[in-house]
Amino acid sequence: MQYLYLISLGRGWLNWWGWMRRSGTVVLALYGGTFAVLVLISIRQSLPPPHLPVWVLAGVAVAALLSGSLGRWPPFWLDRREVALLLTPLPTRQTLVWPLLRAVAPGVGVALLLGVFLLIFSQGWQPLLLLPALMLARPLLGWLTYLARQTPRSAAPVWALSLLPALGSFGWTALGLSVLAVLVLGAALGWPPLRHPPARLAQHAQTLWLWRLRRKYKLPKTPLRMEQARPARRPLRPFPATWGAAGAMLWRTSLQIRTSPEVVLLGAAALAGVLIGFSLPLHLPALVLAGALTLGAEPLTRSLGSPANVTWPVSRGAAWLGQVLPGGILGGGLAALAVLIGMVVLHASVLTGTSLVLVALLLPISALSLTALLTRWTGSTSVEVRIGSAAGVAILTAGLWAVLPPALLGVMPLSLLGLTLLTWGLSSVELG
Amino acid sequence: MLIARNLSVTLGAARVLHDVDLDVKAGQLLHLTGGNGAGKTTLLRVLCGLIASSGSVKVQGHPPRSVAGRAALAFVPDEAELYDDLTIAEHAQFAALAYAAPLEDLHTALNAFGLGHRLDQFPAELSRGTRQKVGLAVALGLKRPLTLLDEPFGTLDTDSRQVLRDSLSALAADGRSAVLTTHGGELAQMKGVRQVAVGALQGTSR
Repeated sequence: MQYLYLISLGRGWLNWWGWMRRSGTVVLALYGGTFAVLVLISIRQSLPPPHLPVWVLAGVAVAALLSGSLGRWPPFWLDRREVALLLTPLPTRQTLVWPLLRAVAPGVGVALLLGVFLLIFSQGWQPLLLLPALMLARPLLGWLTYLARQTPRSAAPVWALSLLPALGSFGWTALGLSVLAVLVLGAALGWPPLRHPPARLAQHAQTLWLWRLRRKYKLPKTPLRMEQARPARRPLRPFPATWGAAGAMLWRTSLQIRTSPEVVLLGAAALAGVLIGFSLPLHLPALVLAGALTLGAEPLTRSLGSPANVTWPVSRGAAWLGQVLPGGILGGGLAALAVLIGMVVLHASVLTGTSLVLVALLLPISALSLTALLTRWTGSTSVEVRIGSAAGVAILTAGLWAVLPPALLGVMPLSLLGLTLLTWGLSSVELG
Repeated sequence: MLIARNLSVTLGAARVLHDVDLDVKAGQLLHLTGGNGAGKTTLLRVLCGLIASSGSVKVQGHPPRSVAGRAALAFVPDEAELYDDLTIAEHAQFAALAYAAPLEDLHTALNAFGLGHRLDQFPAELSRGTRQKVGLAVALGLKRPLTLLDEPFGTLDTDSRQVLRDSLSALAADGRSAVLTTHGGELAQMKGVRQVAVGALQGTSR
């Protein structure tokens, strides 16, 4: 039986190598790679290599790890033969060796090439080591996220590991150690469950294989929904019963935040965006912040609005508090923290930075408040209405930030506060 | 339990309700009848405060749009509307929190409708009839003084229809009230059901 996994591993390798030869990828890679190296060497000789700041790679590291923790599916797929092997007495870890390698290898290969590219163009050799390590850590976090969704395991370690490379902003050593820590701790958490994986792993992994076939053979889209990767049973930790309907809405909103790791993208993407934007001459910090907030806004808006024919015993004002406050406070806090860190790292202007911190603090709650009002008025809780209104506020704020003279930037936080209070007041008014 | 006086509703160019008076006593089951477009659904939605009307409605002395009024009633439309982002169990939890009602009662009602094995499913994974059963189970499990049901039997299977009839009988025996609309004869064999034609209520205001 122990030879089965060797057969699986060997057969997988032979299939992949055969595909590479038949498709001409090997020959193309040799020609293209040689040509690219020659071009890069000639460019390197004619241009002085720029210095790559450590905080840029720290931001890239956090963004890469967060993108790995966003998914709801396992980070690898299984074809029918491999699913059949799961049903045999063969240890699960041996069956998954080749699928894991298959999932990880392309990312590591691309990261190595990118590392070589950066080595040629900059004075730093650190990316050559760090980028492949990140591509190893990324699917690892995807696996931990999947375990958190399918088992009673907490998702807190995933969040912590995803943000750990932010410490790299303080130096190359800190960045290297933090990425190494992510690998070691992630492996320690993710390896033992391979012995007894979640019950639906085979089904989900095979679904991913079917999706690949659909894309490969351009078949019609299968009617598979994300609900099929839902958590087995999310633990319920309700608020006290005395909190009433407002407490129920608060619980529902916080449930979305606690079960959607995508929310962490709010703060981390804003951090990366602000750090990059501050180094550019244009007013891009707010624009990038707006884009990052929009990407992360969707989970926070899921609990906004109610179906038209619902008669919950709650006043409009209390409903606003329960639906808008959790996401607004979390989003505003993360974004403001991101801007503060950016100011410290990049020694940004105090006056401009203060207004930006306040804008970051108030933008999520004002966007959510307007979205809640619009969903109530239109009676629609569609993704388009929710994301459109949130993005509209964010983009309008960023646009004004870019065009207003510095002396008037202090008006922006007041405007956002006014918008929040206005939408709260309108939400509190009973119809008719 | 419920006192409605001088209700009039005009939707667009149509006067749907005109000077309607309605009383529902404690422990009473009221069956609203009428053809299509008679105003049954409109009357139900006025009684639970979803549609504005002239006149007055009081549920246990409170307007249905007030917090106290809504706490005294539960409404299930002809197509139950559930939160897409909550599982059935979470929806029941939400309702229990919102009304400060015992969660066990909701789970008992869900089990009575045969939904005990579907508690971790989302509404998108359920058929229309199953979603209707969830809405009915949650509303009946809340044990509000007044329950309003719009075409509750429409999408139910035979067993579930009997469960609903039994629940309504128990509701009345507990001294609670219900107002419901239905086209079929599902309530014909039930005792103690007061049948009122919406058309007969028009212009009855004193």
